[in-house]
Amino acid sequence: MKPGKDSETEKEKEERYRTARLVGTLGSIPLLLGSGPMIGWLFGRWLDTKLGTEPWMQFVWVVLGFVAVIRSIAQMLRRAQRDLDRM
Amino acid sequence: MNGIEGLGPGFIHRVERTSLVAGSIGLLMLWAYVGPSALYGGVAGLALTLLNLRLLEILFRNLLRPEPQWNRRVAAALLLKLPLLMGGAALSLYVLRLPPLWFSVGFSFPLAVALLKVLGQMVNHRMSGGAPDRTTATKSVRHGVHTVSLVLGILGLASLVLALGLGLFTRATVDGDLERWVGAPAAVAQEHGSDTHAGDTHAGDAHAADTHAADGHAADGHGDTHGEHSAHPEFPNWIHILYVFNPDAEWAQFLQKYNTPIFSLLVIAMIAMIAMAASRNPKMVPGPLQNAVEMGVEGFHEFVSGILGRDAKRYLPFLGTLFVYIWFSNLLGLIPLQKAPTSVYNTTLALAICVFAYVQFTGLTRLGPVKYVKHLMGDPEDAIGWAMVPLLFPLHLIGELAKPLSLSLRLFGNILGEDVLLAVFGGLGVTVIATLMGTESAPFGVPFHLPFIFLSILLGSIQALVFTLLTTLYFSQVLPHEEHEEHAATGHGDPVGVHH
Repeated sequence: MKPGKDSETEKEKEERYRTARLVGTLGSIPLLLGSGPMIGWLFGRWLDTKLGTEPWMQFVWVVLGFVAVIRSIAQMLRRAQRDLDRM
Repeated sequence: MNGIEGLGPGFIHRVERTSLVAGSIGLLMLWAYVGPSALYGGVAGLALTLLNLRLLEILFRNLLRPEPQWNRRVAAALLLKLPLLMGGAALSLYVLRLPPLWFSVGFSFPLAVALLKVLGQMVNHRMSGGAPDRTTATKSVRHGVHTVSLVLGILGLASLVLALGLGLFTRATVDGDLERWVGAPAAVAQEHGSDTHAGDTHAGDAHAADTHAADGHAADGHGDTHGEHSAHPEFPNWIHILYVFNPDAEWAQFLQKYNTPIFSLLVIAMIAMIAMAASRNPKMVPGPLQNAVEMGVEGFHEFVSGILGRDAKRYLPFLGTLFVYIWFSNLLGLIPLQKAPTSVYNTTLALAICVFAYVQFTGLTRLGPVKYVKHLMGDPEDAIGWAMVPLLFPLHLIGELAKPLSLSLRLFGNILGEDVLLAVFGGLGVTVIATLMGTESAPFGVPFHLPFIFLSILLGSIQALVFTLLTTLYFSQVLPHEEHEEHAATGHGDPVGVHH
């Protein structure tokens, strides 16, 4: 939390933008959820052509991608929660 | 937080209701524009997602309460949810072979509605000063917000169409893939007579090209930009017009080839001129331009410093530039004969790559190479942590890459969708007149797209803000954690303090 002489207005200002931040954060979830598996799939496909393991790497990396974004979404939500708790 | 009211089972119910009404309208439009196969795909997607929401509502109603209730309905909902979703999707896409694009659109529609409802509610909450207020003014604001949400929902549908239809990375593949995914081009003029087979998924290429030409012809004054490069309706821009009139001239070909960078340069020139005009002769009592720009910068600084705290000043130039550039780019598409550079994936991808590179560079320099690599490995502290590194490292890497991808896709999808929507409605206006006159084309049209222009202004601004906001959050994630930072600050002060 930011210190300041007129902490009242500081707090008000912060509160004003907190909602916007929250909406932005939560709104980014659906696309992020799709992007992870997409990255995973692209990487997996590349690996498949390199290693000749079609279609296994694609499958594995799509799942990994999904797990990865779930993880980063959880992280984001934790942040958002902390943001809210500070209010 | 004192809360946004009504985000409970009741909210889901309202989302269901709105999605049903707005979705039905959207599906009718789909039927008219694309054809029956799109309608079936959309209906299947929408039905499946509404069913899913219904199950969610049951779960929420029973479990999210002071004394959670466990009954047969809850158990059934829990058990059915996933198999129903997967089974429904498999049935629609693999057995019935419905077009995946329209299925996805129908399926994601309620998500857009929900998001917009939350947004509307938050705006509403802010405007009523956080207290439930029932004055006429707030009621009308509430009403307005809901109306806007509804229309934005339909707008969101268009952007989803395009975001999902991406074959990825270049305009040409996007166009090609869009046609393949949709099954038939989104023909503006195909609303009368022999259009029953327009939406047939198996429409041959020749046929597709046919309907396309007819479309361009009917929407003469507006949508005739399809030409060689574009499978979606789009308002003509001056470069394209020059090219159409001088197809053999080398300079016209050059302009046409590099039209997006040229529009980008135009945006940059505009921003530079405004910035120079505003700061050339700063006064203590500022003129209107200086005043507006100063207010903008100040507001933006507050917005960023809420997230980055004392680091805000360091990253403000980059973030501010990003915001202003994207905002101007989005709005440029609304000016007649111009085009939004952000409606091309290359532009948004380039922006996202810049963000990615700068964020990683920031992480590397602020954390130091050792800590940075450790951060990528998930900050292992004990033996178990180190054992997890081979798993966590790729996960972290994907997570980092997914963020710029989703950033760029969101911006591109929204702006392109918005442009297409404007063109489709503009073309519809021309078609209506042509039909009334009984001719192939008309010299003017009903400006059906006018309301969407106002909405595009709103949407373009929101998208610019969202892109910047997510970039800021992305920065805040790689900067040293607050605890460390505070610790460090008490140790040796901070060179980039930004407090007023």
